[in-house]
Parts: sequence; structure tokens; C-alpha cells
Amino acid sequence: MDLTEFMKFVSFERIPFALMVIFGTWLLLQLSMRFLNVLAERFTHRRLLFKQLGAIARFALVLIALMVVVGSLIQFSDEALLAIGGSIALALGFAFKDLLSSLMAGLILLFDRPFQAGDRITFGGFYGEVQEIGLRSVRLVTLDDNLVSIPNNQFLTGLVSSANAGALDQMCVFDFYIGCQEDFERAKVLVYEAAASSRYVYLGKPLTVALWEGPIEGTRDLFAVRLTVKAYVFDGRYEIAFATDVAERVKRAFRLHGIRSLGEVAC
Amino acid sequence: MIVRSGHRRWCLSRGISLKSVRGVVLGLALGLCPWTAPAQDPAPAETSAGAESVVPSEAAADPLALARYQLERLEDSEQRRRETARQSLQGLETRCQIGVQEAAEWLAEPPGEIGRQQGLDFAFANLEDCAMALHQWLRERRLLDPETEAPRVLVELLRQGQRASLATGASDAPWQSMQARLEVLVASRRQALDKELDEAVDMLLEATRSRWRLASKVSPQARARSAQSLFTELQDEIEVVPPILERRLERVYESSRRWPTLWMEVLALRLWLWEAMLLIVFVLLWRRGRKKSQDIGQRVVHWMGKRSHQRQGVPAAMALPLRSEGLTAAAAAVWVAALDSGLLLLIYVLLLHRMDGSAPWLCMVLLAITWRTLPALATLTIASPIERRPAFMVGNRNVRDLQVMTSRSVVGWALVSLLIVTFVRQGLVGYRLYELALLLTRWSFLVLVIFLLDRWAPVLRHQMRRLGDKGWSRWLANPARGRLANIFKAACAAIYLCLRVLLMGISRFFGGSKDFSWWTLRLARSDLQEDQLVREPLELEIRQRILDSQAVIAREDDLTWLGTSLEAWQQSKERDLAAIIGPWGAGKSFLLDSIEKKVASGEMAEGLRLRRWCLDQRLFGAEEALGWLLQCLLNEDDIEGELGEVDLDDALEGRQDHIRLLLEALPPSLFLLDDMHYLVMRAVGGFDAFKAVKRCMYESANRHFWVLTCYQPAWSYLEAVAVDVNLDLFRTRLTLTPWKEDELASWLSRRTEQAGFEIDYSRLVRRGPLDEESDVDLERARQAYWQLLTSASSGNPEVATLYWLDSLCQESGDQRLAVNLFAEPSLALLSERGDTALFVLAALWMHGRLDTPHLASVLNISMGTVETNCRFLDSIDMVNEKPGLGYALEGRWRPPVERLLRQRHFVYWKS
Repeated sequence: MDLTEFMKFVSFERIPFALMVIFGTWLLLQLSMRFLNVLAERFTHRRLLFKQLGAIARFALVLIALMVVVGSLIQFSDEALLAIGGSIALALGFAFKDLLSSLMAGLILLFDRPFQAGDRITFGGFYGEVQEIGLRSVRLVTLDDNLVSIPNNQFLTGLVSSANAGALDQMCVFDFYIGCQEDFERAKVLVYEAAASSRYVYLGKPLTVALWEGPIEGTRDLFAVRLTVKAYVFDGRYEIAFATDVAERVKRAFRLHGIRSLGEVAC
Repeated sequence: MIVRSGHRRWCLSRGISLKSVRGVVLGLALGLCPWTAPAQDPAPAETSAGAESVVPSEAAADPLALARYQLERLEDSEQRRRETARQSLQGLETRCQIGVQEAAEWLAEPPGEIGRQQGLDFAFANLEDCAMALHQWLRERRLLDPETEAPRVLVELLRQGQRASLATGASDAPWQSMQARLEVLVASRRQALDKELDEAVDMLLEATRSRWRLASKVSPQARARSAQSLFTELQDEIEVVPPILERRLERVYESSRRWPTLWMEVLALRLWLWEAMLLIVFVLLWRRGRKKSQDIGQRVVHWMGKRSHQRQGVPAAMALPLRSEGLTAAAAAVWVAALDSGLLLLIYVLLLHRMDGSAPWLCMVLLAITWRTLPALATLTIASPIERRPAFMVGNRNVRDLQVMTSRSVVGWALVSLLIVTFVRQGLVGYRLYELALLLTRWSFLVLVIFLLDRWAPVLRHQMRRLGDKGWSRWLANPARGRLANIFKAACAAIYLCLRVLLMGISRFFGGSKDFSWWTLRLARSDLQEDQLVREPLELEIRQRILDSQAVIAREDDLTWLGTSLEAWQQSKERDLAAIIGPWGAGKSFLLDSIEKKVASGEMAEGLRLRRWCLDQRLFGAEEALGWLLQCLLNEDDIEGELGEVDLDDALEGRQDHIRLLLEALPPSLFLLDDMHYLVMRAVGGFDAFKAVKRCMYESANRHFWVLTCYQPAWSYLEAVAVDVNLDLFRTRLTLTPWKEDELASWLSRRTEQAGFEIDYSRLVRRGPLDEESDVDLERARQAYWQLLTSASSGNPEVATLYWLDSLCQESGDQRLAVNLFAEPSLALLSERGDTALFVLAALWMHGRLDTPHLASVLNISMGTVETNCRFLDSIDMVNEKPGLGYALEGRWRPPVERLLRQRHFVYWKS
């Protein structure tokens, strides 16, 4: 089937309608995304839900618009469909293989939900917040405010680690090192209180401090007492601020009570 | 419709137009005979014969030849028609006979015979096809007019020719002979049609009888296939009609042989008449039953009141006589409506015999139920117990009446439309009337909407006016010149208000409110009269008089429980600590006052000395806390024995020892420690003060009974993270719950009255210029106001007092204080400040009062940032500062700020 024959199946009189559909879909997308973003900002504890709704709405609107536009513009007869079903379909399939696989992977991501919009995930060496699950790729904003686009189909075979899995709060882990001769009991209490008194901590989930003594990772000769705090931040967006706040409080408390950190001991 | 030739001659002899006669007869038939069906697919070959065909040129010039030509063509076409009909009838007869014979043969086979079932199914299907073909054939034949257009044209030709020949003096014999031939042709056509119809009816009857006999023998699949047939008449013929009517139907067939396909219409008519008769019986029974249901309703209400008396020992509605009367009357109306509806349903069930006839019944039942129940429900919302009251019915009578009228109209329209559509059946009244009925129901809805918009227009304009002063909302709020323009504006306003309410609902749903109490409160607030005029705030002297008046809400249960715990401790002397926990302004200190009074009167803590200490500043660290405790102990004057010198600047262990000795030296006492949350701070080392004091308390808990009060957010914080504080030592815990609406209303009203003022709620009632004063409206407004106040203050008595004082204004110097709606604080300004302001508020919410150095320490942010935010919050009166003590949340801001912080997850409060 050549181009002139193919053009017979194109309904040119439906082009204005198709354009209207495209414009309407774009407008609807903009409005709905804006509305959902406003709701997400207003109700932070439902932020992830609104982001997820936004991803689903985007998918659905684009797919429906695509189907309506293609269906109205191109109307194949049975014979033409049979003809196309041959070599052209094969060629198109190969050409759009990756795109289609990304599209299908996007749908699977939406329904299987290994993560969702708003989650903080680690994938392929990148850690950040999932900003959007698009038709072709997932957009990740790293802590350095870099936008990373990862094709959807890569998530089907790769390992994804989600820090909050759909919840607003997420666990943060901080390590503090003190010298082996320091008062570890007091240090443990101080670290605990520093984390508990932070304005970012989520008190609805447990806060623990673990203690470990041994060589520091990557070294064989440097021994220290490691205090590991596992606490939840009430909103994943404040993860870094939480870490900073706890670190400041701990350092201040250590200084006040004469507990030397590993760096001070080594010096 | 078949017109007899005799009638035609009669009309012609009198010069009456046949068309006009037909028109009159048709009109009468449509009006009187409900089974006239419109013409459907007339056989085209039969009705348009000859008149439009090509006329030979020699005949066209001569009228006589033309007439002869037309007559011959008519005769030919009739002959052809008869032949065609004969052939088709023969074919149908053969099919029918084969089908009947097959059915008889298979029925004669024994039941277990192989292939019998398939044979029966096959014969059944064949007979169904045969009956379907016969029905179709009969339909087409029934519509044949034995006197078609062609004969009429020919008659006109013959008449003109006869006149012309008579006028010219020629003989009219040819014309008369042709006229006679035409009459013979029409008569023979009629007879032939009748005969054909008779034959077809006979065949149909026989096929139908055979299908009846097979109906119970065929397989379910065959019956299902038959049921799916588009020709539903066939299915009805063998299923709907019970065998007892078989003979009757045969007679119907026999008597209406010329209209055999009208059998279904006859059946429908029979059903219609049956339902109409039942409807009459139904209405009569209902009318008789209504009076009974009213009596029963009154008796039930009386019985309920009596049971309530027996159970509670007090009158069921004790607060206000008005409310009790209103409740009884309103409840009685609902009971009457409920019993009435039950009676309707009972009659309906008893008379019901099949589902598809139930549609008009169901409509009548629902209509009656709605008509009776809606006003009763509306009345019930006027006066009802506090805990079950829907506040949204507050408002003036006009709005309430509009609401009832709207709901009645819409429901009534829906049900009446359904009734009309069900009764006006196409088969009975004809296609055109049926379409007309449908059209009328649709258009009537539009008329109803326009009517309702016209009635609601003033109320909608008022709502738009209250929403703001933006351009287009002002346009909607202003009345237009024409009525139609007002209706259009009302429609726009209604759409806008609905969208606004929907968005509010969505935002409240995601805001965490899972119930719909916010909805009723929002409506109550919008319905209460909001006096936006500038009014003078209450004078300070009057405010102080009300604040100073001491109306007591007895918290007897709490005091009793504390007393019981104290007595148990006095007997067992097991170490126990008591804590009274509650939010700011909940009445913790007031409870301690009550304990003090009870101890002074000897009702509590017999044998114990009362000591009350209050912490009025924040203490940080164990040393400071123990220093304070030591100082308090040293101030007591009944220390037994000699203790030696006590150094207040001693180290921590020294202070602990001193405190221990002092506590041992004191006689057994009841210690009341107020505001112990000042010992807690959300910082590293912030629990030490509390821990130190708690240890001292617990060590002496076998000698002294300790009761402390603590701010609830601070206590919750301790419970969440202070794992080494061990709050389990406080086995006696009293958490002060929010006050209920009637408690707040009673307490604040009494305080105001004790201060010498009379309370006037009339300003809350929105009343139109022609509305009369109504006690019920006033009572509704009063209840809605207290509901709003309780919700806005979250049941906090201190906050409620502030809102209450904001609501009052004095009129013309007399002792009457008018109540207006208080202004709810708006948090819109906070959204511009970012999260730091919210963190500051969260810290103040948790700690009560904090100065800027402590705030900076708690939040771990710079002093400059803290001061900037505190100054901003102070500028909008959200916080207040006490010199030397720091900032605290302003009372009236506490509930909304708390809601916002919890919504945004800035605070966590384990409920």
C-alpha cells in the first residue's frame, strides 16, 4: 500500500475535530494537573495520592485522546486493515518497539505500583523524588535538583528501592561516630534526644538508636563506636533538613557534654 | 379502517364528503376505541393502484374511455392481488399443517424416545416461525382498505362523466354500468379480504393451540430462544395467558376475526382495566387507613415518652418546654408518615400479582410516601434533641418552605411522569398520543425548572451577595429588569453555588473530615443572620463582670473519680501518682480549685494536709527544677523535726537528698502541682527537669499523694518519645475531654445571667419583612449558634468564652445583650509565610509559652528568624507576648491553628 492509497483512508474533513480534541485534551490536562497540585500542596498528607491521581489521569487522557484522534482521522476498510496487517505493521512494530514497551511499562507501573509519584526511590545510582510517571519515562528529581528521565521499561527488569512506599513519612538513618573511650551511654541518650526533639521528626512511628563498635567501613585500623539513629521524618521533603537538624543538635550536645566525635579523637 | 359501501352510498346521496365523514369517524374512534393502531407499512401494491400509472393517449382524450381503462386496471390489480394472496396463504397453510402435524407426531411419541426432545423443539420453532409469518401477514392484510384511492378517483370520474353526459343530453347508461361494475368490484374485494382474513385466523389459532400444547414439553433452551425473539406477542400468547383464558380468547378470536392481531391490544386493555380497578380499591383503602395511622402514631409517641420516663426517671425533654412540645409534635408527624407509608406498602404487597404491572403502583406508593413524609421530616428538623439535630434547617420559613416545595415538585414530577408513561401505552392510545405524552413529560421538566428558579431567585441573589464583591458575582447578586433575565441569573448563581459547595466538600473530605458535620455547620453558619454591620464591641466592664461571675459546672464525675483514687491510696499506701491532662483552657486549674474546696470542706483527703504549688516559669534542667521544688518545700511551715542547714545552691545530689529529707519530715500531704508542662521542653535535655521532679515525687509517693496538671500536647510528646521518663508511674490519669454543647451553653448563659444580663438571640434569626416571629425559629437559631460555637472552639471552655464575649453586644444601655455570630479566625495570612511560621506555632502550641531564646533552642533556628516570625504573628494577633515569659498562642486562635498543624502533619497528637 503506498502513500496515495493510504491517504484514501484519511478523513481530511475530520482534521478540525481532531485538532479540537487535541487542544481540549491539552487544556484538560493542564487544568487537572494544576488542580491536583494545588490540592497536593494544600493537603500534604494526601500529597502522594494526588500525585498518583495525576499520573493516572495523564495516562488516561492522552490514551483516550490518541484513540479518538486516530479513530476519527483514519478509517480503514477491512481490506486495508488486512493489507496493513502485513509488512507495514511489522515495520511499525519494530520502529516503535521501545516506545510501545515503555508505554506498556508505564501502565504496569501505574497498576502494579512498585512506587508512585511522590515516592523517593533509588534506581540506577540515582536517588530522588518521583516527580511524574509519564507515558514514556519516569521523571526523578534528585537531591541536587537534577531531573533524571528513566525509560519506563527499565523499571520492569531493574531493582527499585522506595524509601516511603506511598506514605508521607519516611525513615531516615543517621550515623554518628564517637571514640571508643567516650561515654557511650550518655552519647546514646543525647543522640536519642536530639532526634526526638527535632522539629521534623514524626512522633507517630518509633525512634531507635543502635550502638555498634568496630572498625569503620572502608578501614581496618580505625575503630569507633557507631550510633545509628533510625527516625521518621514527617514529610519526605524535609529529609535533608531533618538530617541537618539532628546533626547540629547532636554536635552541640556532644560538645556540651564533652563527648568527642571520632574526628576529634583522631585529631 | 374499512368503510362500508353502504355508508358510501349514504354519504353520496346526501352530498356529504366522504373525507369529512371519515375524519369524524376516525376522531371518534381514536377517542373512544383505545385499540386503534396507526397504519404500519401498508402493502404498497394494493393501495396505490392505477391512478398514477401511465394512461394510453387514446384513453386520455375520452373520459369514458379513461374511466373504462381505470376500471379494467382496477379489476386486473384486484385479480393479481387475490392470486398473490392465495399463493401466500397456501404456502402458509402448508407450513402450518406441517408444523401442526409434526407437533402431534412428536407429542404422540413416548417420553423416553430418542430424538423426541429435539423433535419437539424443532416443531416448536417451526410453529413459532409459522405463527410469526401469519401475524405479519395478518397485519398487512388488516391494513388494506377495500376502498382505495383508485376507486375514489374512479368514482369521481364516473360522477363527472355522468353529469357531463346528462348536461349534454347524452345517455348515462355506460356510466351507470361502470359504476355498478365498480361497486361489485369493491364488494367482492371486501369479501375476498374477509375470507382471506378468516383463513389466516384459523391457521393462526391452530398454530397457537399447537404451541400451547408444546410449551410445557419443549426444552428450556427452546423456550429461551423463543423468549429472545423480537416478536414478543408470540411469547406472550403461550406464557402470559393462563389456560383458563384459552376458551375466552378463542371466543375473542372468533368475535373479532376481522381484527385478529388486536388480541394483544385486548389483553393490554384487560390489564389496564384490572389495574385501574385495583388502583381505585387501593385509594379507597388508603383513605380509610389514614385516620387509623394518625391514631396509631400518637399512641406510639405517647408510649415512647412513657418508657423514657420509666427508664430515666426524669422527663425525656427537660431543658426547655418549647423543645419538648416541638419534639413531640414533630416526632408524631414522622411516625404518622412512617405508619402511613407502611400501610401503603402493605396494601401494595397484598394487591400485587406481577412485577411488570407494578410500575404504576410503585409510582403511586412512592408519590404518596414522599408527599406525606417530606413535610414531616422537615418539621422534625425544626425541633429535635441536641444530639440528633441537623443544623441545616436553621433559616427563615421562606427558605424552608422553598426547600419542601422543591423536593416535592421534583419527586412528584418524576413519579407522575413515570405514571403517565406507564399508563399511556403505545398499544392502547396509539403512537402519536404516546409520543405526545413523552414529549409533554420532558418539556414539563423544563417548565418545572424555570418555575423553581423563579421562586428561588431572591434567595440565590442573597447568597451571591454574601459571597463577595467581585464583578460577576455582583452582577449575579443584582436583580435584573425582566423576569426571564432574573431566571437566567438564578440559574447561573445556582450552578456556581453548587460547584462551590462541591469543591468545599472535596477539600473538606481530603482535609480529614470523614463525617458530614462540617456540612451542617457550614450551612448553619450561612443561614444564621450574620450582622455585618459595625457593632460596638462589648465594654470592658461588662466583659469583666461576665468573666468574674462564677457559674460552676460541676465536674462531679471527675472529682469523684479522683477522690476514689485518693481513698484507695490512703488505704493501701501503694506508690501512685496522679496526673490531670488537658489542653489549654480545659479547666485543669479549675479542677484543682474544686479539689481544694472539697479538701477544705472535709469531703476529700481526710487526714491529709493540702499543699498547692504552681509553676509560672519554664525550668530547664534537673538542677533548676529541684531548686524550685526545694524552695517550695522550704516555704512550708509544718516541717517536723530539725533538718539542719539547707544550701539552695547545692549540687544536684545534695538537692535531691534535701528534698527527700524534707518530704519525709512533712506530715502526709496532698500535693497539687499546677502547670508541670513548664518542666518539659523539646530540646536535648528537655526531659531532665520533669524526670528529676517525678523521681522525687515517686520516692515519697507512699507518704504523700501527688497530683499534677500538665498540658496535653506536652504530655503526648512525653508519651511518644520519652521512653526513660516512665509515665506508667502515673497510674491515676484524668484526661479532660472537650465540653459538650449543652454544657457550654448552660455555663456561659448562666455566667452572663448571674452578671445581671438578659440574653437576646433574636438577631440570629433571619426574618423577611413579612415573616412573623416564631419561637421555633428562635430556638433553632439558638441551638445552631451553640453548635457552631462548640465546633469552632473545639469544646474548649476558655476559647468558647472568648467567642461568646465576641458575640455579645449591648443594646441601648439596657441589661439586654444581643447575640450575634462570632467571626471565625482566618488562616489565610499564614500561607504567605512559609513553613517557619508554622514551626514556631507548633512549638508554641506544644509548650504553652516560650520566650525567643527557648524558641530558638527548641526549633534549632537562629534568633533573628525566630524574632521575625514572632513579630509577624504578634502583628496579626495570633500570639501574645508577656514580658519576661515569652510568647503564647492567642486563645481564639488555638483551635484553627491546631487544626491546621494537624492537617499539615506539623504536630502529632496521639488521640
